[in-house]
Amino acid sequence: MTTYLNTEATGCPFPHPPVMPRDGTPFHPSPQFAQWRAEAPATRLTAEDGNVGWFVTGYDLARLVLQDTRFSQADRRTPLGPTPVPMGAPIDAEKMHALMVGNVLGLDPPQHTKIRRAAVGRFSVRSVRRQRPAIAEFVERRLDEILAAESTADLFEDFAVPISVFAHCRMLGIPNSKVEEFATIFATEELKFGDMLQFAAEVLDFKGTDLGEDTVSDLLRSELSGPEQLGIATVLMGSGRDAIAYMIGTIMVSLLSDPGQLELLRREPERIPASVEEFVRFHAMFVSTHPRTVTEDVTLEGIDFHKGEPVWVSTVAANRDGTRFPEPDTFDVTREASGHLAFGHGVHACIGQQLARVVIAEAITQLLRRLPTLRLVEATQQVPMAFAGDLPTYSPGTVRVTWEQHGGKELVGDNENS
Amino acid sequence: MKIEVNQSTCVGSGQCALTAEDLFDQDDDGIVILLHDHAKPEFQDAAQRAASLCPARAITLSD
Ligand code: HEM
Ligand code: HEM
Ligand code: SF4
Repeated sequence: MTTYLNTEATGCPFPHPPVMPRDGTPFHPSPQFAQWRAEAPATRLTAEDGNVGWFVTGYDLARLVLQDTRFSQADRRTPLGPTPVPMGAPIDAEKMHALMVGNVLGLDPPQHTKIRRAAVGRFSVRSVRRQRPAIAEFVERRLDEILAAESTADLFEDFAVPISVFAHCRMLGIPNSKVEEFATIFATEELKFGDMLQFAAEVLDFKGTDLGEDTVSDLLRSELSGPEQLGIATVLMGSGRDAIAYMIGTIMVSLLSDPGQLELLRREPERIPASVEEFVRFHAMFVSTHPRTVTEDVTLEGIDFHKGEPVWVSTVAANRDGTRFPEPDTFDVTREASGHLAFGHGVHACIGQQLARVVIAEAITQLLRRLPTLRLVEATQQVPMAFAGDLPTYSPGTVRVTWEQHGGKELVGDNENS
Repeated sequence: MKIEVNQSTCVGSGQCALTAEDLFDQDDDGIVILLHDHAKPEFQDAAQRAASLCPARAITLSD
């Protein structure tokens, strides 16, 4: 009997689609995504560790997948394959358990619902607006310091990061004595999960004796178990990490490279809060979100998803889908851009999104007002770069700017934002 | 236009309170509160926008 099995094969006879393309920047996603979208709303993709799944680039399908809990978050297989990360402090079984029961991004309902509900109270529109004066005052002070020092700055390190850390710590209730340590552990590119967990445990201990009006105190007051509190506290500290800072830096690169848009916002700064939607549509940072896993066979928009397959939803590609956003590659601050997926969609939609909106609007409004002669010198993000981790997102790099020394001084002491 | 919200599926994203503050608010736990269960004609667009932006599909509209 003849066997047709070729044991001598040296390669697979079927064509493999390419893995995640690396020729994009935060402003110009890889053209590969548009080509894939033109063929189908999801593309068969072989991850770097050999997993085969779907990469979703179409807006409608992206929304459908994100809002459908048959696509589970309980398993994570990233398209770039796992990269070794330095852990810092060791993660013992107890801490691992805390992440398993408290990390919202890795849970499905009903456990997800329970944890999320204990955490979201302070992130409501109303509650975030109450933080606005304090955020505005911090931004103003940071600008005073920058203007007093030199006529050049790195908008990322000197401006965006301190503002994002301040707002984040305030929301969570990180004690002032620990803010600096928070910044070294969380506002950095090198994630050390062991150190993150240990820091969160210390903050929970510290706050246990002194509850306040903040998220960590809410967690301590909630019915969550100790491990659940530790897990969600760690994730809340780790997730806003430098997302807001990344956005502020990246948005400013775009504005400073586009005189028309910049002038419009300088003339009509009251537009800025609404323009935040276009800011984040255009600069969405997740080339792929955390992967979902299909829990039962399901067909959506003509794509047959099979049980067990990983699905990577590209918020970047979906936000550039021309059927939803006409002329998607044009940055247009007057566009009605809400409905974008920059903050995700479905039960895992970003918890920090209302905070992010307020902080971004405040930072950019004051920066434009105080520095009318601001100019971009150079930004690392303008050329294609490697992804920042095993989830495909970019690093912000430096955003070097300059201005005329006297340009901003006269404008010190505004009180429009109170 | 009649509006209904499902507080048990709401995930507290705040999208409704941001886009249609005349119709929706959030309680201390971040969960949606319906301010008016009927949207007057001038608020119908806002109601529709909120329903479509709600990530948890917790807002339903009917005539
Ligand atoms: C314990 C497991 C993990 C937790 C608790 C966690 C938590 C989160 C959360 C909540 C976000 C949402 C981002 C946001 O809203 O800002 C996020 C994004 C991200 N995660 Fe994870 N994640 C985990 C595993 C990992 C691993 C292993 C890596 C890779 C080394 C990673 C890298 C990233 C990156 C690069 C982002 C993009 C956004 C950013 O830089 O903040 N995550 N993570
Ligand atoms: C501009 C800034 C931000 C962006 C672009 C962003 C983006 C995102 C996205 C796309 C997701 C969904 C991930 C997925 O479905 O896989 C997410 C989830 C999340 N974000 Fe953010 N985020 C930002 C800021 C923040 C901040 C400031 C916080 C907290 C203080 C935060 C906390 C979280 C958490 C906890 C989740 C997980 C929610 C869940 O699984 O239920 N994010 N974020
Ligand atoms: S938009 Fe939906 S999920 Fe968000 S607060 Fe309103 S009802 Fe809840």
